[in-house]
Amino acid sequence: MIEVERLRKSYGSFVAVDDVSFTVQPGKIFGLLGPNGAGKSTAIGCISGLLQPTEGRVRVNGYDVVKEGKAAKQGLGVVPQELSLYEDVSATENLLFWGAAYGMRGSELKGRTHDVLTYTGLLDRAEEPVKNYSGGMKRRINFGCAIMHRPKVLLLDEPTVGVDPQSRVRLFEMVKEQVAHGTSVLYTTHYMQEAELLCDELAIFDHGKLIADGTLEDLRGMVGEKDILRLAGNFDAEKARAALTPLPDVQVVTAESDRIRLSVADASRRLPELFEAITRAGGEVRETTLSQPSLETLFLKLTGKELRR
Amino acid sequence: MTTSFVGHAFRKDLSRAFMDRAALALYLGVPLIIGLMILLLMGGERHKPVAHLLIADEDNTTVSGLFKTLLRSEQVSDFVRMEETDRAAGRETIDDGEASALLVIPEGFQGAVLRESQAQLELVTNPAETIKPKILTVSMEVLADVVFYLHRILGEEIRKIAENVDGDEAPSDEAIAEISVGINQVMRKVGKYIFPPAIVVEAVTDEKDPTGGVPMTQLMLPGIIFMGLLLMAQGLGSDVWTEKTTGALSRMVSAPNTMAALLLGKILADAVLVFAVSCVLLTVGMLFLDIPLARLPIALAWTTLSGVTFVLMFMWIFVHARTRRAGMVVTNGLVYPLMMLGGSFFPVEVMPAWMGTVGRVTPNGWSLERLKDILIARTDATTLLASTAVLLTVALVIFLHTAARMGGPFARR
Repeated sequence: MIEVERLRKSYGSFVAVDDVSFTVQPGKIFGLLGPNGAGKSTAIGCISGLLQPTEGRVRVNGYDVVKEGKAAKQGLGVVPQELSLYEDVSATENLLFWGAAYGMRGSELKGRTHDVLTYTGLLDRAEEPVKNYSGGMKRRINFGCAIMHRPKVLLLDEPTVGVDPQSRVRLFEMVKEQVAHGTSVLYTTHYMQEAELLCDELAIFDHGKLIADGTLEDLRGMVGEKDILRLAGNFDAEKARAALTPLPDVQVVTAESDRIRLSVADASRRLPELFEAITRAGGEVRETTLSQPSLETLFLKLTGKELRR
Repeated sequence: MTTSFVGHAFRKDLSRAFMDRAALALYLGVPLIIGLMILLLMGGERHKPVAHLLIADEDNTTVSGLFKTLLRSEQVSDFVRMEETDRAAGRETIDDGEASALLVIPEGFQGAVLRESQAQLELVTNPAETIKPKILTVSMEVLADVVFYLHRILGEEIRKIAENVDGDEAPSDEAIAEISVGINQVMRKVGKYIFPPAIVVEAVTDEKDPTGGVPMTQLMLPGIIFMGLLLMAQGLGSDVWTEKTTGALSRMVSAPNTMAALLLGKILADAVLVFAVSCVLLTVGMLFLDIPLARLPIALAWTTLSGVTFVLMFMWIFVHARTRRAGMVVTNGLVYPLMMLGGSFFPVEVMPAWMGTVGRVTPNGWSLERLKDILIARTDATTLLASTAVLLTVALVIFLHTAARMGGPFARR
């Protein structure tokens, strides 16, 4: 279990994480969503003990990560964004090393290494230097190193970057299997689809602040029944905004050059009305994209930015 | 800190180091090549050259036998090893480059020496060698001078010996007695000048001799070994940046084991590498320079401890550098001046006084001087233990500071 209370991390006048609180329950996956520089990795750094919080408190399995660092770290597994592996040596040696780093030894360490190699599907190439592995295999062994000591809390910081689809699916399975054993997982990602597929609860980060959190259903509810409609064409975005804003149940989300994003209830039925408003403003619509209410629409609505798909 | 984790950190770094074969070849190759080049520059000779002289005696007389006895004498055999042969076989050996020179004593040599007529010795030298043939040429010139001065002192007696030697019959007892008496009288006259000699040559070692009589090659050996150690230390020290950039260090901060344990395993692996490279360099150097191998264990222990301290020194610099490149620039800027000042290119003994003084207080210069003392056997156990204590203290202080830095700002940056 992870408990984050009023966490704040600043570097001089720059506030990377600002008054953030959330809880990750045992056997649940908690997703942190946010664009680059939103403060997700800083938050993870404070939870893992890598960074010292400026204010607030973080508890892992009931232990304060600052005051009871060793006990807190003992139950924590970290899958960092970069591949924290020794590529010159084999997967076996990497697993033995990281297992020993968490206090494992002797036959327990050897047995667990064999189990993790089997679990990650790398047993047949266990003695090869990791540098010979594909990106997906490296990600799997990176994950394996984090679960060697059977942690009750797993922190995964964008673990699927640069991973082929097959390895991504295997990684998702492995995460879900850990959760099935009661592990709490904190998962940061850029990928909306991953968050929707994996996470029981989500928090949306932007500019160091947590701007929304809850279950997937809670967040979808925040979007309401409105669709996101993207219009592009031969028009001035600001003139189009002025023409569309007075219309009932139409909210302009973003307006840039010849593109405009709208939040509109029952958008497909109201398309003629919207086109006419833009035509009256001296423009012409040439491209239309309609999205059903989703996490992405909420993210867009809250931050004004799109995440990667 | 658990011993199990230290052991795994040690194994991991040792495996990584042995995978990097190019670096290993560099650590061993550079000092060996430079050592070889220095020896070639010094004439390709070892510190005590012994010329291999072949003699083809075509005269086979008392005088030629006396001549060969002189060459076998204790004083001459220190620098000339004589081997009898015949002209053809000797020439072939010289052509094969397996001897320094061939001396042919021609028939009639005895008669010419006794009558002080012209005698021609033929000395064929090996063009592949430089110093040894020169030693032999000078030795022959000295022998010619000896014959000249014998004639000046004992000319009459030598002529009588020549007349008796020429006859078919053996000289009569009277003739031998007459010659002996004559020689005795002459020796009495000149004896007061030569027994003891009127001129006494006193060999005095110049107190200003900077090398203290130690052969230059022996002075160079520790410098060459320390060149290898410094290059190794820079390479091994920079490895902390590899661990940082992969994210292994930041992951390590999230683990309950300490950074000191990781560093200890790493340093132990480095110690094995330093030991292996030192072992090769020292053994080759000591065998080549006839330094007793009994001194090898202490020399090896000292170079290993010194090398590990250098690794820690460079690692300390790297964990303070903002980038790996900045670390390389700083350490490159240190390695070569340290090699120069610390006696890796020239022994401090032959440097200008101020430079030698500075060189001796550089970390490598100080350690190098201790190694030199071990190899030349001019140190005692107390001094050695005191030096070891100093080195261990320095290594420990740097170790603790580096570990703290690795687990702190260096991993988090």
